[in-house]
Amino acid sequence: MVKLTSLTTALIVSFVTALSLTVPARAEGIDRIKLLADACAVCHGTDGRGSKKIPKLNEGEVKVDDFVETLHGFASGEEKATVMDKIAKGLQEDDYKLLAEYFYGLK
Amino acid sequence: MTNITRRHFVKILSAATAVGSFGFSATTIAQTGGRVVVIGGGFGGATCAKYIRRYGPGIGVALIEPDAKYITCPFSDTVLAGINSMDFITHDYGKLRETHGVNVVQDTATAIDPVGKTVSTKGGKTLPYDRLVVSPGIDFRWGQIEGYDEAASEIMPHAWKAGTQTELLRKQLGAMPDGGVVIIAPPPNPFRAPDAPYERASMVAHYLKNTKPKSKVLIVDSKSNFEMHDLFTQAWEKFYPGMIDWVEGSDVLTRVDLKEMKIYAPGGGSFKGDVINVIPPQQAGAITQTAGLTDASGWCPIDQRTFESSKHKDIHIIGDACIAGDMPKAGSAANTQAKVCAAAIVSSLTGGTLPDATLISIFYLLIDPQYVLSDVGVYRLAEGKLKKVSGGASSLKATETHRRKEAKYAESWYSSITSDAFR
Repeated sequence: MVKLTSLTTALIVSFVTALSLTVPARAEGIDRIKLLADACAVCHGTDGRGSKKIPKLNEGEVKVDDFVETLHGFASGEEKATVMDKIAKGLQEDDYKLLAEYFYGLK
Repeated sequence: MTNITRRHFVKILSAATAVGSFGFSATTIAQTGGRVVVIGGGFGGATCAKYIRRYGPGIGVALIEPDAKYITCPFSDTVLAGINSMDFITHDYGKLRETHGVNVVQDTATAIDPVGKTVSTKGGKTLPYDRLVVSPGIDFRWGQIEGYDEAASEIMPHAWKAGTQTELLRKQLGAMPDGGVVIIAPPPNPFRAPDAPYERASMVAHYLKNTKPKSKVLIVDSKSNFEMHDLFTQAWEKFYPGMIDWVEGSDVLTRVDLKEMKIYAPGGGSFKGDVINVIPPQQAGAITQTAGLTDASGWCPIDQRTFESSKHKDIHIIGDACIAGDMPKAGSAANTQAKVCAAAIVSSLTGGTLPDATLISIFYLLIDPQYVLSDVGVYRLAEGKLKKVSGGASSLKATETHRRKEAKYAESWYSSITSDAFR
């Protein structure tokens, strides 16, 4: 019989840890708002970093309230738009705030 | 203290070595995170490779693309017009490699083994995959128009894949004398970029107006109407009055005569041109045909939630090649589909859930440097199909200021979408 030394214990612990690195212990999905926000990248750039005349959205560039109000404005027609009216109408209203918060904090 | 036998302990050690998990190096984790192969380095494939690496940094991605650089169809009509150079529409894979760690393999994928899960290449490589993304774009139905085989495109260019064909068509336009006729002959639906033939007519007319003003552009259509007909007609009357004629048709051209420089439409009409741009009927890229991924339509049926093939498991198809409900065949459709596909693959490999997705496709039609139209669509899954929930084209009643704004946004869009896909 092998006495379980601290070295042996350490080896077994690291083996078990290694197994859990290769087999996900918890199923992590992709966040729904992240996936939605990534659809905006076609115009607003990857991570909303902006592109020439199309506004930057990330890194605190747009206050959450302003973002939400602007999207509402696009959807209602109060805010002038070329394409954002049709896009805002295609989003779920509850997502305006979630998108705003996501972009605000995104590096 | 637990007592275990020496034999049992040795068994644990050898099992650990076999799994390869003792070393936990980055390679080990990457290997055990899964391997994805992507066929095609265009708007679909490049975006998908990049976003798989973003969503699942432990996953290894190899992208197989025949060309060293990608030349975009979007904005290639500005090259025809002499506004931009070929350089402007050319993008390399440096950032995909360096920033995103995609293994870009310059080679041509020639065969897929869906059971053995490998891709074979022209260069003799065999790439194993856990998941495969096929984004090959379109190929042409050579010979469906009598006389229009691949060799014919050297005389009557399609320029519906950008690159040498774009340069050829540009050269032909440059050589045409004043007073010449340029014919553009679009195919029946479905085909890649269905509004683009009319953009091309506009950009060619822009070039001719400035250099060879007695010339004409004749669109010999296979269709009796097209979605943005009124918008284009309004714009042509403003910028190119009397210069662009659109002839409606009933079906695909019957034949071409390369020597006489004539094309023949069903019903017997024939048209002679000095420069003839035939846009032939299309189908999903060749590799999907040989790999059994297409159906009778010549396009690839998929699960429209995950983009997984309806024909073979663990193979996903995006972009022009797939059948995606209401979505158009366009670069920006491929770009938005690529991200949902990436999310589906990463979720599948990590055991996570794929959230509900909203897809956004947006593209621009260039009429004049100060006058551009847009077309946008927002899509969501409804009863298994990607349904357009919102969207539309620019209004007939828009002001000149509005058209100028869209021209500026179009330039910005080109920059953002190519960065999003390739950088």
